Amino acid sequence: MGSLKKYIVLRILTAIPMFFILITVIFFFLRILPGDPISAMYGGKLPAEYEAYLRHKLGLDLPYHIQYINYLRSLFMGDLGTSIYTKRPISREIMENLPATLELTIYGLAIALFVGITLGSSAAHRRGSKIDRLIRVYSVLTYALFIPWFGTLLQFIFGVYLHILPIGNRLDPTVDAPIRITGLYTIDALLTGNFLAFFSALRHLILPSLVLGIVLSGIFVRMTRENMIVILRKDFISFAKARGISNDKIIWKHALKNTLIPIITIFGLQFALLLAGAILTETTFSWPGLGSYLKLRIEYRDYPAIQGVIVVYAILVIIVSLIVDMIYAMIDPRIRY
Amino acid sequence: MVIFVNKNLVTGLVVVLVVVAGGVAYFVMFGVPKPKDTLIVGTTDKIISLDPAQAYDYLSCNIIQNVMDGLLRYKPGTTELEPALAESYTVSEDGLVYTFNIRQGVKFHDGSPLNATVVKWSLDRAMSMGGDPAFLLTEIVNKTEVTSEYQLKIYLKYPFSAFPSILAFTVAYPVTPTKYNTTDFMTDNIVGTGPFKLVEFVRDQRIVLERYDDYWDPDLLPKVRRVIIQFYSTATALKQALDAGEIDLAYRTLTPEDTASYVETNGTNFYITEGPSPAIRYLVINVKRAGVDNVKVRQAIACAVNRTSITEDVFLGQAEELYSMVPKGMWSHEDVFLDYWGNANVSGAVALLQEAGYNETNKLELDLWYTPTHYGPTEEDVALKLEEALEATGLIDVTVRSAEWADYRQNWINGVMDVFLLGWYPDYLDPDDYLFPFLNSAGAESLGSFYNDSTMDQLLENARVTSNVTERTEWYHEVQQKLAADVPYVPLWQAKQYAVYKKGLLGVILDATQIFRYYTIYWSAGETASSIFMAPISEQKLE
Repeated sequence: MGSLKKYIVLRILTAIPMFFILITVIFFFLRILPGDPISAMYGGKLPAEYEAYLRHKLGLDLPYHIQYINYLRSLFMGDLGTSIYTKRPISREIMENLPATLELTIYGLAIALFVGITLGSSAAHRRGSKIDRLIRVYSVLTYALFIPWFGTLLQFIFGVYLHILPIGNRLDPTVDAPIRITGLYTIDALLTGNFLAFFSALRHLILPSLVLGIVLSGIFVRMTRENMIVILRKDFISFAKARGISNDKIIWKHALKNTLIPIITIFGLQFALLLAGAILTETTFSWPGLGSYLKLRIEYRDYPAIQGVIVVYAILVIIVSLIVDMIYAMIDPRIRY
Repeated sequence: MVIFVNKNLVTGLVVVLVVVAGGVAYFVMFGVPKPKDTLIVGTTDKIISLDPAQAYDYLSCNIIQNVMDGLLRYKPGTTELEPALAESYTVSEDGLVYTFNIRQGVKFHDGSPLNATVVKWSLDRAMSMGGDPAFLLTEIVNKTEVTSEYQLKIYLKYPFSAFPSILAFTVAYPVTPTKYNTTDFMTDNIVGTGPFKLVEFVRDQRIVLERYDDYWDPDLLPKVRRVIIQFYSTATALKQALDAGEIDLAYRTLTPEDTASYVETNGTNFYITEGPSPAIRYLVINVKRAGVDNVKVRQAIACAVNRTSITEDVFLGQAEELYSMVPKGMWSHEDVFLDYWGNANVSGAVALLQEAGYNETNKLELDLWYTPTHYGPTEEDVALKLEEALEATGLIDVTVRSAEWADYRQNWINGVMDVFLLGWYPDYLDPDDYLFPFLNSAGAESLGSFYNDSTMDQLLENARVTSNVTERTEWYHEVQQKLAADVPYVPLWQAKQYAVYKKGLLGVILDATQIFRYYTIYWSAGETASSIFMAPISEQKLE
């Protein structure tokens, strides 16, 4: 385990410069883009001197490098700053929005994995057949789906036309939110025994998590299929077949277990994609998570808020890839450096 | 043993799944029942801050207008002020001292009382905390003084007859010292004296208001018990939510195409109410630039522009032609540009251009500017319509140019654009806010027309000193006449606002104040509302 510890420390150390490059690029990129928070919010309506006063109050009139040093200084102290738009602490706003994103991504990922592994295994099992080809077409098509288009289509079918599922938001308007424990409505509702909120939250999760899940499932289908085909050619599968074990059992028990390792890796690599997908899903379904928050704040050039979300996203991606690497390193001793 | 455990697990899982599926199926089939006296509104707007000292965006202010009161308020359906928390007020002869008599017996939602000290504290708080709209008060107010328990004096820095309309804006609304302090903005909670009180605010998700049964004005006691405002990310989602029956009413903002389709099918499943908006759009002419420094040329431009092609072709009828800088629906408005120059009046334009010395071989070269994103994607189409109308004279060569907002602003400050498109949303609802910033010499410079006329300055000043509305109307008549004669701006169109709602709802009022009042809306007991469209205000009853 000594070398594993060393490996983890090394991975964290390499993540730090990446993190700083990212926040630096974002910091300057935002300021180079045309438009600043004051004119984005008030569109040149305020008297010029008053605009200058507001800019000064926010420190926006300082040279970029001074602003950057100030930003890094507070970031080191764990302070993400205050929103220009609402004047509230960014950390608080992010904590309000993060659970919604987590809830959506957990359900979306569950659907993506379920669909991906089931279809991928089936395709590998029946390689070259019509079903295999259909599943491959599915994986390409879903990978290319544009989330807002697909989401709006489902909203139209299930919401407007069939009247059975809501268009957006996390709860029915007349249902009170469950008492906050984790911020994940389905879990909080169950923990507090608030079944009305539980079913309302679940009903609202169906369409967005389905959209996110289906769009992400394509890559899992392909990965499962490719890896399963390789595994199915391995000797131990042939031996299992020779021992008379049924095909289903070989696929679902022996082959799948060995396919899961590369899938975990893919998950690590795809996590950033998952977050990006969540942004589009959230804005399509009026889902009040970090993605909707980010989109709104970009419109208003709320620098600290945008930077705060990027920091949180970066930390999430780093943590997830670290965990994946660790799992992988534990399973496969060849990965230690 | 292993098999036994697994079986139990499987049975457990199946039971859980059946319960969940059953529950989901139930809600899928029946949804969550909605109480009858509840109104669910959908919007794409967001709330920034519920603190009146900080709020300066549409929905934040609108919620405050429904939960709090000002000293003065707008009579629903008009732009006329009437007493609210102030029962009456007087103005000193020099226009510098306003004395307000505060209404007695009014209580905030937390039970704390309203008096002159609270009003003074609130005004001082708004000015000292330096929130975004604070300048509206600090630029004008010198000091406040309590003269008795229910009497307050406000001293101004200079005579300013539009001051009452600033007091009707949210920044001046009284707040209670029992809940508010002078160090932090209360962004996520609100306690007022208004017809509704706040029940729940989940940021970016929804806000729930409930009728305040002890409201001081029984005439405006809300007719519905609860209002739930749901936030949607996109105009498409808002439309879908309305069509799906998830919300009862959609207000701000559907796409022009969707609005047009609701207008077409008005009365089938939904009603649509149309009203004027206080937002205006206009052309700025830099009177210092060669060519347009000639008043005849500016008058020719005023003749040639075709407002109808903009409102009908670009905005599908969802905008109104505008012939003064003062919007339609506001007192003192006169269609001066229509009277002076007409609309798409090509022959008039040609005659004026010829008088100015232009002909087919010596055409006027004109740069027409627009900014492509700030006012939305329709802006380019507007610029092209204007180009078409100006070139229809055969004597003007238009070059259409564009710049992103930041550069555009710099350009107009630097005075490098001949003619350019701009828009205005008022801070306070008074003709002063549509005329003074544009036409006084200092304001005209900062808005890019560089118009400088001492007679005009004097007329505007006269209208500011007197608080007599009849006298002010006369001054604004002269101001508008002179505006049309000198043409430093060409008013083009005024936006319209729309609310689309389920059949059975009544009492929607859309007026030029753009204050959306949830308290006048109610579920009808059988009356029809088919005639509401196009005549929203006259049909409303405010019993």
